[in-house]
Amino acid sequence: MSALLFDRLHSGLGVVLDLRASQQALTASNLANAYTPGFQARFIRFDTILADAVGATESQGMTRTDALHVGAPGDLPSAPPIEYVDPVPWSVDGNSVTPEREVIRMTENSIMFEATSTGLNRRLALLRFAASDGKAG
Amino acid sequence: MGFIDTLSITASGLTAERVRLQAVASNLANARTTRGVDGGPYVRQLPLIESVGRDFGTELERNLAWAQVTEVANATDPFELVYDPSHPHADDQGYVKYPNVNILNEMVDMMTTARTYEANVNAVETTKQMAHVAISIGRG
Amino acid sequence: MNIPAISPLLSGAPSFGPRAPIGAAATPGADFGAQLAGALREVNAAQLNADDGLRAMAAGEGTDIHQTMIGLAEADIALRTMVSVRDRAVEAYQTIMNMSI
Repeated sequence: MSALLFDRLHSGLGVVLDLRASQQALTASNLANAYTPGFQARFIRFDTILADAVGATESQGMTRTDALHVGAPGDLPSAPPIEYVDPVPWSVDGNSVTPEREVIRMTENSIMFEATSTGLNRRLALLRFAASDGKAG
Repeated sequence: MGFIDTLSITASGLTAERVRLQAVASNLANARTTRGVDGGPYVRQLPLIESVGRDFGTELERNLAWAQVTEVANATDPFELVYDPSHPHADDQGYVKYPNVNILNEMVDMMTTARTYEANVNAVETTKQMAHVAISIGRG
Repeated sequence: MNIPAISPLLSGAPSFGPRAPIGAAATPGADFGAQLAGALREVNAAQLNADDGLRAMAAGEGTDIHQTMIGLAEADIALRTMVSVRDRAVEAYQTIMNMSI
């Protein structure tokens, strides 16, 4: 991807979508293994990794003052932090999947996936319009 | 990461839950069957489920887990003995062996499995939605 | 030359000092340039604002999805408006240049 044409936010949005798609795969794994003895539910901890991807953290150094400026190129994102859920103390078989929690997490994740994707689309349409010198199509 | 893996994972879950439901149905139907196919009482069916995944690739790829039913085993807990010498299937001491099926447990299993099955179906719908959204990126 | 349609736009917000005299509209080229520059700044601000909103939403900070979408729509409209203004200016310039004097 050309760093001149597409800035940090653009590639960051792609990373966010990737991470959320990966989270969906983990949720699917948890739901599929709801009855597998000893299976520990797993998820991606989104606390800082999303902000890092789009450059929303303070440690970015350069701030853009003009929309025409290209943002700072980002480092490649490191692997997403995957966490496990411990089974409850009274669990018989060590399985820590709660279908309700998985469904809630999945709902939120898919909403944010769609919101991020739509935002990316709108931004692309704007850039496309500007790139075509204001002529439609 | 594509959605193909995600869909196949959910498919494996749906299969596992379907096998569980079938076992529950069979157990409930035969809860009082004193003479099964092999001459003894019906034995509770117990699907054994394992998670299988990849042990190569990124940390994320290694955390993907498909569900696999390795076998539908005969449960080994003991039969229920009821003293009833008049029963045609009573043994020499007058005891009848009833299946090792606990109807309440089976009912609970049936409800939880059905709910989880629904959650997996929900997961298919959500994955499909996300895939459609991804396909539409850059369109118009 | 006093262009009645533009003067109300040029008078701007009420001020406590003396108003800009109507004669200030006598040089429509400079005022239009100022208008265009203003529009450019607005477009820039709108785009930066939209980017900020999108960045925050993608990072999962607060789920103000509607605000972010509004911000993106505003940036889009601001850009299209400015382009429209620019096109009109170019048209008007060409019309004037093509007049045989």
